[in-house]
Amino acid sequence: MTEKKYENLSAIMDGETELNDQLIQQLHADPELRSRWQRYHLIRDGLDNHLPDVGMSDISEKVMSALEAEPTILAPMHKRISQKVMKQAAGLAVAASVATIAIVSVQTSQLTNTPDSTTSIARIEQPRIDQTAISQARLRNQAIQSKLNGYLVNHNEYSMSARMQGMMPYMRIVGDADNQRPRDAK
Amino acid sequence: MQTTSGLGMPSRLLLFTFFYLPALVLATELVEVQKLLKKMQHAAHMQNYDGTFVYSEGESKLSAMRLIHSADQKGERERLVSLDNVGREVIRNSKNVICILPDRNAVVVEKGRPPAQFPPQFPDKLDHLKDHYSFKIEGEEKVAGQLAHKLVVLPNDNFRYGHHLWIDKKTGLLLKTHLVNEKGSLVEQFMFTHIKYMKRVPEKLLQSSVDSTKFKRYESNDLKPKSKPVSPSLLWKVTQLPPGFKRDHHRQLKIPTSRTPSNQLVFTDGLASISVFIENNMEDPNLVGRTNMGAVNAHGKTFKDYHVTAVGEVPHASVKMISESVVLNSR
Repeated sequence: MTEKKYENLSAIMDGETELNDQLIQQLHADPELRSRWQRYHLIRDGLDNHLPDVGMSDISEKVMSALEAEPTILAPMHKRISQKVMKQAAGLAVAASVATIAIVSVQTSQLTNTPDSTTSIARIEQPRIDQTAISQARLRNQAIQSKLNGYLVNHNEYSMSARMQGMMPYMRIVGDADNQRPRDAK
Repeated sequence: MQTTSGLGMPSRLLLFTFFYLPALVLATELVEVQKLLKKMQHAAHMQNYDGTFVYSEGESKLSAMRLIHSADQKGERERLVSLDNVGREVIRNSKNVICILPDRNAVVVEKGRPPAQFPPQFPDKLDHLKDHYSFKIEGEEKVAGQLAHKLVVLPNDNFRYGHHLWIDKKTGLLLKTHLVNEKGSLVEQFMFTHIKYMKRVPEKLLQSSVDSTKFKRYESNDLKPKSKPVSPSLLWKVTQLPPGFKRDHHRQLKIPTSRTPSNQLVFTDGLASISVFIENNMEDPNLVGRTNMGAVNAHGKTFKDYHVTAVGEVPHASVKMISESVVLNSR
């Protein structure tokens, strides 16, 4: 069954069959299939010399180093906190501060919503590899970053700086408003 | 009764001077350090003050904030206000933590917080710590116009950070801290630039200056997490620890940024601590290798179907050693 799926993908890439509804459904449901689909396009574009000059790994490394260079620990990536996320955050009981979690979860929600939304399907149908790959690398690093933030919040109560000065973990939140720091600065 | 020793009195004195006196001096100093830390601990809870400080991580980020602390018959209360742009605030008392985020039009209230350590304890027992850190009082310096003792806590190896603490000579309040990494670089600092001690803190100073009546209010009760054991039949084992680190806590929790429940193992040397998070989750990307967030280092690996990530305010070598050594034992 799995092999069959991949065969279908190859067939489409080779122009042997058309992209059909069933496959779109499958792509929608299956992240592994989607990433394979993108890889196939990447390979084809690479073979056809259609790739941008900068290598993919370079881009993802750049994004990675930009993220690493981020001085902020709890970095709110997005301006808006959706009500759903806040509810979700509020409903979750963790010993750490809800505010921190709320800030942190915004990033995750953006991330977890994307693969399932229709926009990502549209993107798959008309792959623009350079854009997709870049945003994928970005998304991947954001995902890692937000996960680390989640860990950090839960580590805070045991942390050394909290022992030194109880408000220190909160200093990170208070000093972390969006407009106080350059994002993706190089 | 005569001693059987062939040494005369002067020789014995010399021996005493060479071998015991330095130890005695050290012991006296350690007692002083212990006293100082105890005083600092006490002051953190008991002092009434209104201060302005700067807080920075690494070289690129600097924030100015105001901290007001009150201890009276109403208990301990604290208000932290950002002096930059949007003016976020955090108000804490023994029951609630209220975060006011004007840039998000949100008020987040964490309720039912147990009357926990506030601030948490800096260990005042040095017996265990002195194996891994050396403590030294390095004279006095002025911080925010106050004379302060400078206490230097330096690690004896490269597995933990050093601390420079400036403690108000009169009140015992921590006025300035430097967190120093294994290369001697400053990774995080906090320093009062102005402090005003008071007998009583005016009520007004403890109230938010932001009109948050139109903000969205989010409340949470600090419920017990319905922790579903991640894998009850599995035993996580860390096979290699930096010297002096011991397992302190183990809990299972749901972190909103992670899809699956996590195991958190906490290790501490009595001062520094490292958390190891283990998730059974191969869907989301995870950290493989190293990264850092200010003073915090992280190291991740993938192990069977699990993500293992260690984080802590320690040098990278320590988080790496711990996370790389995690193994799984079937019960």
